[in-house]
Amino acid sequence: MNVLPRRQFIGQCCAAVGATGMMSALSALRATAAAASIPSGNNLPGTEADVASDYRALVCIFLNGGNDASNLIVPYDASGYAAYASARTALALPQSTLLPILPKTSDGRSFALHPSTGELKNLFEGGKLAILANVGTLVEPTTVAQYKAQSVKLPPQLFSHNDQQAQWQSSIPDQPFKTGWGGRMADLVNSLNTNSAVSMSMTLNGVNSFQVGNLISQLSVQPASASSPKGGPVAFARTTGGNNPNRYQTQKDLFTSPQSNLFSSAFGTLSSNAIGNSDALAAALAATGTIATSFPDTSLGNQLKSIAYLISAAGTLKLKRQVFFARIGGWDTHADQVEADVSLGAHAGLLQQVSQAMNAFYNATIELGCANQVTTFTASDFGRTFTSNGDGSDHGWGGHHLVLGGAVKGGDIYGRMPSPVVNGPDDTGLGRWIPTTSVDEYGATLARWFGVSDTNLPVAFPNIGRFAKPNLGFLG
Amino acid sequence: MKPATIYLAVAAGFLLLLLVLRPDAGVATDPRSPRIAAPPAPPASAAPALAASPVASEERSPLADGLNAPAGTVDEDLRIVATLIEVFRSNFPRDGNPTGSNAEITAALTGRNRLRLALVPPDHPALNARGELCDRWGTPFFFHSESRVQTEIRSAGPDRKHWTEDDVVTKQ
Repeated sequence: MNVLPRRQFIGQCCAAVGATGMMSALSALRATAAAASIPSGNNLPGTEADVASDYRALVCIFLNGGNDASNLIVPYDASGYAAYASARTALALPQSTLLPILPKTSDGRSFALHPSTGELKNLFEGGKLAILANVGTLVEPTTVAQYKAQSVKLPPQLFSHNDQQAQWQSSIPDQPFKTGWGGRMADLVNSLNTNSAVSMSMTLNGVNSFQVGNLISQLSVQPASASSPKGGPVAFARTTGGNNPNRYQTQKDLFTSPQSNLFSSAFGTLSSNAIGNSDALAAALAATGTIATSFPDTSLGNQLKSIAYLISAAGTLKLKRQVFFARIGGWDTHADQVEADVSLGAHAGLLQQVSQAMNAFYNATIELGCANQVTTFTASDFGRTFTSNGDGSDHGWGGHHLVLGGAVKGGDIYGRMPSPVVNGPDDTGLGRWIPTTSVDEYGATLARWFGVSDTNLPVAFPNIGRFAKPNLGFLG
Repeated sequence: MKPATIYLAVAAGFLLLLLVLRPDAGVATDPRSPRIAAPPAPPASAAPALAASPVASEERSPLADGLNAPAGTVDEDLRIVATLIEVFRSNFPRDGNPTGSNAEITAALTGRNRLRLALVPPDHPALNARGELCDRWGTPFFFHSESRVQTEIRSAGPDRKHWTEDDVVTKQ
């Protein structure tokens, strides 16, 4: 189990601090407080029986920095590839190295995947992976003509990392950030959890905007590592010099002892509950059986491995809905995006990591018997310029994304792939595609599958009424 | 506070003071001023900092005068560009720093904004034919938009190639 100093521990347990303030932190700890009462003697292994038949989980993989999706899904027919190669110059992947795919429906064009994503190609062909074309932040549907005439409202601070990350994760670009759509979904469906002691929102990569809710707050969990094969809750530092049970107990006793003023009393209660919740979640994880599926020992691989274990503990925790957040950085490929050997370079390495980790995670859900109940999807700051800057690509707008799971109507491309023409009908300049599918539509489709009712859809996605397709149809 | 931070703060304050104390102060920041043609009101929903109308500023901003001066250094140039962006944001606090390509950011700095505030004169020698703001070696600066209040500014340096060891970078 990972051990952190007390201040860091409290900080991570109060993962919503800063985004939602102390009230969210308090509610997070309230939500997790009852976890201490979970019986630790539950010896049921993490098997299929532990995942309820009506269980569902959403897993967000955030590609931090802006994925160059134009090299993830590449035009493959003669004219499309020629336009691609002409625009991308040094970034263009040789056509012979690409992995062609055959979507179930076709608009007359053909496409291929990056050569480092063999696992994704297999999942696509197996009908478990869907591609969402040209998704991005929008205030309202926007055309190139409207963009140039500035006749529609645009997301503020387009092409800026932090702003676009926050807008992707809030889906309300025209308002100051308050909550994320993962958090709002959790607020709406948490009543389905028969025991809400431990938060249904768990992050494997620190605080994020996506899971900030009004009621349910994110709980920070450490990813798997060599010393902690299942990962687990952030642990309270027992002592600064090593594990000393007596000192640990003394510290816990101090937190529960009567205090003379309200602040000290509240701090003691919160800290005590956080420690108890941490211990309870650790106990639930410890009770799960070992997952046989092999995960790559990478950042994303270890995050998804821990999520698989947390899903296997859902039965013990009596959670029927869970939202997870994983994140992998390094996608801001202004330089060194490709090398002469296309299997090398920063972007190829990242895509390979995603491909292998997503494949392992899907296999783990099969092993757990819950593949149809877990849907994994990607998100990112933005797509990148279709044109090359000479060594990489710069900040764009719309980008393509992946949705994986047994419930996914995979093997198909949803939405419209942009015309691969610089200054063409989808381009604001430099090959920055105007999104043709909004984050709202993408998220709303996931939310409906997750259990958010049509009535509540505008609560989770306040701008959804501006867009044509609240259900893109990629989930059964 | 580090000396460099103090220096930057003082320099930025001085440049802001220059702007404010000019005889035509208010032209840039006060849209009611009679000395500048009132810009056509942008559509309520339009992008705030990018107006389609051409620049027609009557006064020349001195903020970019020292940019690429022969006696100056690239570090001084970067500080000037950083100040330009900061002053831009101070005039458009709700919008934040200008974003986009070099040409788009430069357009905003040269007056393509709703106040038609030209912090960089459109005939400044640092502008190339494509409307990009260039460093003292003639290579367009690279603007990396990190957030609404933070932009990394990169000069390609003497080798004129970005992302090499002689690049010089500052954060606004």
